[in-house]
Amino acid sequence: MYVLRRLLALVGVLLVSSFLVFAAMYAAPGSPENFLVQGRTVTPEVLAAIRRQYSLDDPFLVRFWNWLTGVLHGDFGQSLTNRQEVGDLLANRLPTTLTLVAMAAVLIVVLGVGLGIVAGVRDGVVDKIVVLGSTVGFAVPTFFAALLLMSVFSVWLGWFPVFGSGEGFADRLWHLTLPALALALPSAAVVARITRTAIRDERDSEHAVMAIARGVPSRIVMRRHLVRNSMLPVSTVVGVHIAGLIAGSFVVEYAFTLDGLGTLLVTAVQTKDFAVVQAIAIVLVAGFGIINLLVDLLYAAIDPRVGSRHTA
Amino acid sequence: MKKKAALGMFVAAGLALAGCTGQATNTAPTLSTSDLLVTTPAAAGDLELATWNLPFGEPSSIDPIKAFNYPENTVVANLCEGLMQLQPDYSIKPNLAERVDTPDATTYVYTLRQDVTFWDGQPMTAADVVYSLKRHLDPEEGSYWAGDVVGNIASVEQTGDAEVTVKLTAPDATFNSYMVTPIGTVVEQAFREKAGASFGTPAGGVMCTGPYSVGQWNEGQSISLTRNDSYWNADKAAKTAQVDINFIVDSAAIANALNTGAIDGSYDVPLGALSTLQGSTQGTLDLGRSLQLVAIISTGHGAFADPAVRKALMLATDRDAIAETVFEGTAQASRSLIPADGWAYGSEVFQSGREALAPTSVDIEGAKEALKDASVDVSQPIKIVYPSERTYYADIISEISNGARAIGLTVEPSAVPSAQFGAFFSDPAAREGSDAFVTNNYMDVPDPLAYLRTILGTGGSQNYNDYSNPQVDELLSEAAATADDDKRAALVNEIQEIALADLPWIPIVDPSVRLFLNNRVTGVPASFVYLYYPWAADLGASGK
Amino acid sequence: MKRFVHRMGPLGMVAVGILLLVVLGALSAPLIAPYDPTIGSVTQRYLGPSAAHLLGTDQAGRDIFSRLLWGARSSLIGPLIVVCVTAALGTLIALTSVWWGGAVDSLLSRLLDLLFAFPNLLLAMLAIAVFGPGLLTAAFALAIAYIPYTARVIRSTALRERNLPYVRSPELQGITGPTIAVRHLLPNVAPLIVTGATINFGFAMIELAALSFLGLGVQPPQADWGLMVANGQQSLLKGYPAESILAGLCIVLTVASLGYVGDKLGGRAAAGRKA
Repeated sequence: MYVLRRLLALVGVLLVSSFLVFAAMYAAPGSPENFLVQGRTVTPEVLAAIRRQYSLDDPFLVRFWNWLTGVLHGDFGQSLTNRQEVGDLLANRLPTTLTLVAMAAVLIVVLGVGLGIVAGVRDGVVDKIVVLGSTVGFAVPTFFAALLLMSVFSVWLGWFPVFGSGEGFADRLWHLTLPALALALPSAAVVARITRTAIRDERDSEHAVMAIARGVPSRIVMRRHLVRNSMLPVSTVVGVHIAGLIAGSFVVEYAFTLDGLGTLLVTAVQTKDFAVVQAIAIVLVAGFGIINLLVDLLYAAIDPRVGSRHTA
Repeated sequence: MKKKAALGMFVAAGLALAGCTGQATNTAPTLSTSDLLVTTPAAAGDLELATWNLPFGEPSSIDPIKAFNYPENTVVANLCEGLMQLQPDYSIKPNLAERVDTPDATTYVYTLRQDVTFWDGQPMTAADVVYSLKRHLDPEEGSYWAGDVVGNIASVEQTGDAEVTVKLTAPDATFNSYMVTPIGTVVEQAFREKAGASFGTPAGGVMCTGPYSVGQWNEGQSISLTRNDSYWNADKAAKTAQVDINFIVDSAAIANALNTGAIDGSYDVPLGALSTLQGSTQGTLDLGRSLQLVAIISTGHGAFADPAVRKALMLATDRDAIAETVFEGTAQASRSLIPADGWAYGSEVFQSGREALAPTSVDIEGAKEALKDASVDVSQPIKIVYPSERTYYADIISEISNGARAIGLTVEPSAVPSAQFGAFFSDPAAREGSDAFVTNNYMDVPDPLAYLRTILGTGGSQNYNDYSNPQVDELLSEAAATADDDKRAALVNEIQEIALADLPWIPIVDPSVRLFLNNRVTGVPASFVYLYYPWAADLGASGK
Repeated sequence: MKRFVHRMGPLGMVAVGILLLVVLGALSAPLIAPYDPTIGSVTQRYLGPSAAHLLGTDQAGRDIFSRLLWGARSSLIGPLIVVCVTAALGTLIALTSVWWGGAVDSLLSRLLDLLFAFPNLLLAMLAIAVFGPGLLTAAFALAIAYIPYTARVIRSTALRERNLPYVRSPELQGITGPTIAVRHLLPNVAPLIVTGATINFGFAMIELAALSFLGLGVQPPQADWGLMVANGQQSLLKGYPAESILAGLCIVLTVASLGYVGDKLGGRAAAGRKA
């Protein structure tokens, strides 16, 4: 029930967002046919013919309505730049973005939560390094991390490829390792920090202290008391960051020239390729919304006290 | 305390890294523009597979009428053919047409070959030729080649079983050379009509007669060319069975791919990749004879609209330094709006005309003199626009602004996202707010007359500042009507002189073709014909 | 003051020091930068550090040290605009929402939810498409995107305060809403706003740098740290990493210092971010 309500709300958001995106593209100066031929000149008659072919002179609402009805039939329109079906264009590029985000998500959880737990449980050098690392790591922009990783591991050491996303599963993983690392770094830093704080708070809490005083082995204390209880704030943080990964992936894709959605979106916005921008915007908003929903469900699952009385 | 130390070390390491590599020695370029190649050594054998790259990205269409720029033409040149064919030495040979006759100055009669078939086995007929040529005249087709030369075509008719006659409105000696471009390219009528709007897209494909046909097209990644085993011209059959062409645009990625042998070769190697590739053991970087020009185009607005200002700026800018540093010796400072060696006829006339022009060295005194004739307010800053991703333009404009400062002018570079820079070439409104914009231009055909006509002619397709000079227009028509090559060249020389006095464009450098070939391949032309000549058919094993 | 120093701790004071240095550099750039950041000659490209050029030159022959100084200005002004606009509008919306309650609160909350669901980057890109690339557009677009975060925090705190006696009693006496809001509510949420602003400043700095990196923010040849990282990418891969690495380091140091100071002041909760 609650899920259904959220999904309906998401559909509403998608509708409003797509209208706003369309309006923004419409209001933006310049006309798409002027960006079609780079650095060469075509006659005004040809430009007019292109406008006719793509119904660029129809009124705003007519165009939006046509687009909307098309989408409901599964037809996302054509790219103005190369007449390709937007559905195909996206289908080609989605796997790269999804793989990248998935790999980064795994890295955030493993590195972030893992290091956070280690730092939270032990004191000493490890803890200090993690704290310092997380303060600095959060401050490193993904594109800078991308650049550094690229210059050290691709150009200098040659361990990883510099471009492209590879073919086949294993090859793709290899190509996307550095980008995923760059993408995950700032988020992993924050997650490590929050995890450490949460674990420490739990460690000093009454029930944990009592358990140790009672003689419960420390490993069980860790698992059943510390980790389990700190998962609540940690999972929220992880979820929020994973939701933000989709947008963050665009910058990394640009830096590593991957054929994902990001580079496509940047160019499409600049050349006013309406159909492409609309489609990617939908994917972004929907993805963002679904991940947030999953995070909230996870939150509810971990903490039975939350239940369906969810306050945003 | 430990944290402070760690932080300090981090900072110090960064500075050290920045410092020590900043002093990397500038290896002197071993490339030289004094000996530009026309071809590479012929291939010794066949190959199963070769990989190539398009540094300017994926073709947006493979329909010849939309092939009007580097990526599209580089691919289409191997798929589709024209009535005539441009050769690596710039000469023009009959191709799909057996011969061409000109009974009078406005009539061209093409006798077609009768042994040509499309990839699907259908024979090429005169009807296909007429249809293909007329596509450029049909406004609904939206051919990018419309205007200029095409606008001068009065009629295209089939006048025999294997004969097509083209009549022009006004005489144009350059017309036949345009038959090497997509204007003269032939596609199969039945196929195109059936494919409809998807013609030229990955879904629809094309149907042509060339040495390669379209294989797999992985959108966003690569397109494969497969050898046409029933190609009509057995002498020029392709040597490589399959050529995979990638679309990598990032300069570092290209350098890496070529340097590791992941890609066998590329034209237009990005400037950023030059230093890596010069020292490469995987292959060689060749410089070829080119038809390219880097120039600053006046928009007709602002202080830059005054010819005296333009002349002064040109004299004050160190164009040789730009050629040496920004282009790392792979370009030469421009002496004219016509690129060096950019002709296929009248060589002696053009060469001596060129030598009579002013040298390219910096002349501050001369610049100050020229500036005295300016009638505009020279205190206003001059805004030159460039596409932001191509950082070498920023360097060029920065050098121009150095020269400007020496004579009391102010030049401001202004960046626009590359994807939107194209608007400057098609939308007058986009040009309004600036004085000038940059171009990496090229001659469509190796004919200075055709080129200058687009820039200086009233209403010329590359006339972006409403330049209109009756004397020039008269010379242009006269030259177009002059059949004799040398006489025509002399007339063009006159136009060239006016061009350099009025300077609607300031020519900066003439880039050479930058071709990288892996040691295992060879054969492709090194000159600037790869937009219209089936270069891939010459690509083969080097035998090393 | 002493309490502040004590709260910061030794590393915190280092962070504060770094921030002061950056601000000072930005403010004094016109006075102390040895060269014009946009002028250089290609014959002087890629020079190493020397007495003439403290940190060397970039690919266009421009002095890197001067560019870093001038770049501090745009790298700081952008986030400043973002943070101020967000704080102002966010507080306004939150307080209005809380004061009037009911339908107004509902409507504003729905609007904020909509804004929440919209990824920041997409919003910025669309705004830039409409209004053209540049620092101001990018900053305003990000500010709008950040409003929900601030508004959410202020709203929940204000909600709590709203029904307390010190607010209710003037209301009963007939003093108008805005007056109460400004004179009583605002001072109590002010510390939260300030702390939130500090954290948001760091986020804004990175996101604005990312936008410039993509070519959507500050346009070349202006000096800006994010832009310098992007511009220097080609040089880095050719073996001249100075521009990219130094500019990137500046970003990292500034944001890390800010984050540290912000943490000490009150933490991320105050910024309305779960992270």
